[in-house]
Amino acid sequence: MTFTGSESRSCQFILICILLIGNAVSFSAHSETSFDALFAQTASSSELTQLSKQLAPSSQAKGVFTQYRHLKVLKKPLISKGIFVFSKQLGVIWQQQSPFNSTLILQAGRLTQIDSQGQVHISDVQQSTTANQLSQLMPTLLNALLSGDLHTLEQHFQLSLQSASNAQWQLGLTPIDPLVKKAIPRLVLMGEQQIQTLILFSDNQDRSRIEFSAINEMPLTDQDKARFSPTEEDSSREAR
Amino acid sequence: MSAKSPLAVFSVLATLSPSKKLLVWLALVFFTLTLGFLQWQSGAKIQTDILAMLPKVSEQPLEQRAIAQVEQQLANRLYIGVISADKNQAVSAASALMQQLKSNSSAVFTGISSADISQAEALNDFYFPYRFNLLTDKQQQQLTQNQWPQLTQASLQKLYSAFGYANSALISHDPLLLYPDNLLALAPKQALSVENAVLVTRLPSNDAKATPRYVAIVMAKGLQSVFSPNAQQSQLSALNTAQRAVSAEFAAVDFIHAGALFHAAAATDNAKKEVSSIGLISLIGVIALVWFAFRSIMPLMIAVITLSCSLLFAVVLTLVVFGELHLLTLVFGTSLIGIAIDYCFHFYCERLNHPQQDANRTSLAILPAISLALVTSIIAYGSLGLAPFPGMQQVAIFCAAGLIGAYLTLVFAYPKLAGATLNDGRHLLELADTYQGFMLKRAMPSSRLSRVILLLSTVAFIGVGLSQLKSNDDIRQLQHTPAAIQQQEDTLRTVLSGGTDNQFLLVSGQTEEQVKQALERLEPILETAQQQQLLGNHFSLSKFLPSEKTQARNYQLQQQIYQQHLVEILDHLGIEDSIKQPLADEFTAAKNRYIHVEDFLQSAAGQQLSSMWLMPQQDSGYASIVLLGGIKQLDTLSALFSDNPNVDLVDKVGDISKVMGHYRQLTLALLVIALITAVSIFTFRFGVKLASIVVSVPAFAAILTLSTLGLMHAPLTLFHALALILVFGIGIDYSLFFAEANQKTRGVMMAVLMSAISTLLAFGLLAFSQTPAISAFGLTLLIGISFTFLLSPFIQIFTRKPSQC
Repeated sequence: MTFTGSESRSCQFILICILLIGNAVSFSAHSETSFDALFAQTASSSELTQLSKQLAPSSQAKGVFTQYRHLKVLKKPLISKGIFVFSKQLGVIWQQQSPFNSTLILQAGRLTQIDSQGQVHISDVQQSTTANQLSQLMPTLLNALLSGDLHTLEQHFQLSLQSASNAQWQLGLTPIDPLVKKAIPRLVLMGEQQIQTLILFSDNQDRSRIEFSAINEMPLTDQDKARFSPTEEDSSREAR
Repeated sequence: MSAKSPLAVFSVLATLSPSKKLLVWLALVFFTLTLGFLQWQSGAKIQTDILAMLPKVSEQPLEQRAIAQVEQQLANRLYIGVISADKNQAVSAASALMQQLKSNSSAVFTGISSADISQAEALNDFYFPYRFNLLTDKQQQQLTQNQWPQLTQASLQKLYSAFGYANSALISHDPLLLYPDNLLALAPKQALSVENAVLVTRLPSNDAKATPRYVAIVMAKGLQSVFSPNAQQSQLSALNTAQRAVSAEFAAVDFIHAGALFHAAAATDNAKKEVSSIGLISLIGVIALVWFAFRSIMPLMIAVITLSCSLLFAVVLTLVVFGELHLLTLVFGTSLIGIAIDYCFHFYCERLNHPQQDANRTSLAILPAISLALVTSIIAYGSLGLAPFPGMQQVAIFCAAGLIGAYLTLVFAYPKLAGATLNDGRHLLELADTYQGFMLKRAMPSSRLSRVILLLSTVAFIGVGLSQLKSNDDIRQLQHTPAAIQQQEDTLRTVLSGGTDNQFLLVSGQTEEQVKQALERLEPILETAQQQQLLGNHFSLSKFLPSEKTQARNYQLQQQIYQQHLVEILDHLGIEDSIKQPLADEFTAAKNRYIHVEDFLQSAAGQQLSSMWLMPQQDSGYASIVLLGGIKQLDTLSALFSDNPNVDLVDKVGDISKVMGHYRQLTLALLVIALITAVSIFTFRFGVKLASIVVSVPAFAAILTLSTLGLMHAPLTLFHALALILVFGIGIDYSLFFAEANQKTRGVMMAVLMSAISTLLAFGLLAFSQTPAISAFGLTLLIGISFTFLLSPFIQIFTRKPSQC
């Protein structure tokens, strides 16, 4: 109705700008070429079924990660190490321990960040202005990856698959969502019985390689579970 | 008629033969038909915009332009919510809906979108080069305290995150990652997420245990005004087709809607239903009445001819004057049936009463009374037209023209056509007679005691009633919105974080910079108002167009990054040395390069927002609009700006409501003037005493009506007041007929009885309209005419006296 003024704001636009910044300045955009062969091979459903059998699904896991960030303008890659805790019900904790402490807790609809000073920053994805696509996608993605849920992955990505004879496989993921695709045009997952490596490519020759190790699929302890709801004191203690 | 004396005209009419009169009438009808046909050919249309009925408020030119721009921006927008229990399905169905609308309805809708990614990109393209002039409040504070090392550390932390936004492209131009937060500040706060370029969120629900449902939003803008019935039809059908196609693919999705289209369509629908139902019932009632009274075909035919001619004149004349016909005019106009038929009744009652006269003689006999009645009715309708409502002016012209049509038919067509002898109608005359006798003898209390009681209770009734009378001039009551539409709209409003109200702020200044600075000063005031719950949300260009003063200060603050500590910062972050010089050069080159309004508004990013800014014209300077939503306390809010010469709260709804109130009072004053004028006109014919009595009947009826409305707790509006004018216009006829008739009142009583029944049929039915304005109008007439009818026979007491004494 016009004059009781229910017209919603005229200037409706949504900024998911964070992801678009990469485009503001054009670096000559080239994805790493070595995986082109992988991305040429669209995964058939029988292959995916085969793979999901191979990935013994688990509803929880924890382990160690090592991350290599190769940014084109940096003199040397940024290497960080830490631990992760994953639970299908609770979400994912991504705790970096070196070179400094910082924690990311990814839960459905909620993102908690604890920086190196131990300051907790919680953003409700539903009410956040940032609508950070990656932080929304990562819980789903990691959940699906770690629990071997290829069905969920198929909803968000076009999948391509290359398996070698020795149970080693490579899964290529191309995001379907155009915004996500702009930020990460390609992802590659590698593993055997378990997932071993995740590589994220961006358009400007940056890439991140995350290696998983010491994966333990035992049920989580109460202590692990408690870490999904941190308090300010906990995290500052952690930081120290 | 005005040039010569009425008597001269009457004598000319008396000499014309019935056949010649008929020829005159046929020529008139033919002429009107041709005129109507030409009007139709030249694109006359039916208007349904409720706003077209509203009075014009005289605003200052700058405010007028601002109102026009806001209306232009908001008009014809519609929002569709696609609901599903499955989020992905909601998103896919919304995408499918957009696809459908884009491919099949490009002639009807434009701007079909959900998450506007291109707008986000356009903003980024525009603002990135100006990043050295931008800082958020927090960044400003940090840099003022020379906290560049802390900012560097924070940036490094972000660089380590693989899931964040820091990448080579960005850090080589913005090593401290300050820009993204500035861009984010431009985004409206919304509880919506974006998936596959579709806005989606959980549907708010009162029942926490209910299974969650998701709503995906699609927006569109109609190419044509939603108030044109044709555009309404095409937009609704295009939407339905698209929705059906989507439903075929996704069975489990529901749709909800918001936008003026749905209100306008409901109003059109409602008006059409009412025109047909009220019109039909009123027509059937009148025909039944004619049949009951005269028991023959001829009067029925004559009644139909009178009504058709009346409607023809009404429609054609309205089109000639206005070029369009408002749907509400038609609803009001249905009441014309009840008034135009009066002339017919009067004629036939006279014939029944004097069966020996032929039709020509009868028409001449009632001519003086009928002419006086026409003149007073037209005066009454004319005063409706004085109200500054285009819609009411139409009603006035429509009804006046219709009455003239009926009058001309009586004068020129009846002598030839209505000559057939009537069946014996004595039973009805006798009925009328009995009724009048009863009213005069029995209803009039004979004992002094009962007279005193009657007088006292009447005084008490009037006293209590008038003291209860309140007024309400809010124009929103003009519109009736079906609950289902309102509910859908409320849901979408919640999802889209509130809407925009009708009130907005106009911030003006002599220069661009003055306006920008005023906008910046306004921002904390509005933020506080939002915290105090005075306001739900606001939308200002302030963040998009920082003042040069602020831009210069932000640039100056960033000198510590780019001119004093760049080496340390890049070193700490581990960025290649080759980046340093280009970055420093970029910063130097950006000095004194400010964001200018014109550049922004012409950019792809700013085009959408151009209606929020007003360039100077003639006397007025620059101005910008700040949209407000969810206003809780308008008075308290407007007090915040009362002593700020740069800021005006523009409240068109409030201003129009004020005008409505003003004209309500004026109309009541007009009624008093009309009563006095009528007394002085009638004095020439009847003498002062009888004239006062003739006028006192409708005057007394008006007072009783107001008291009744007071007792019913119906707040008085302009529409009640306008209806009272009509009560006077119609009611005075009754007393006039009685006064003219002197003792021979049998025919008059019958005519008045029939006319009152038909008028009540026509107007009384309006009281049942869904539209509050029409209902108020109908209710007032229902009560007013009833009182007039009950009171008018008593005139006889005074007209009979001379012969009886």
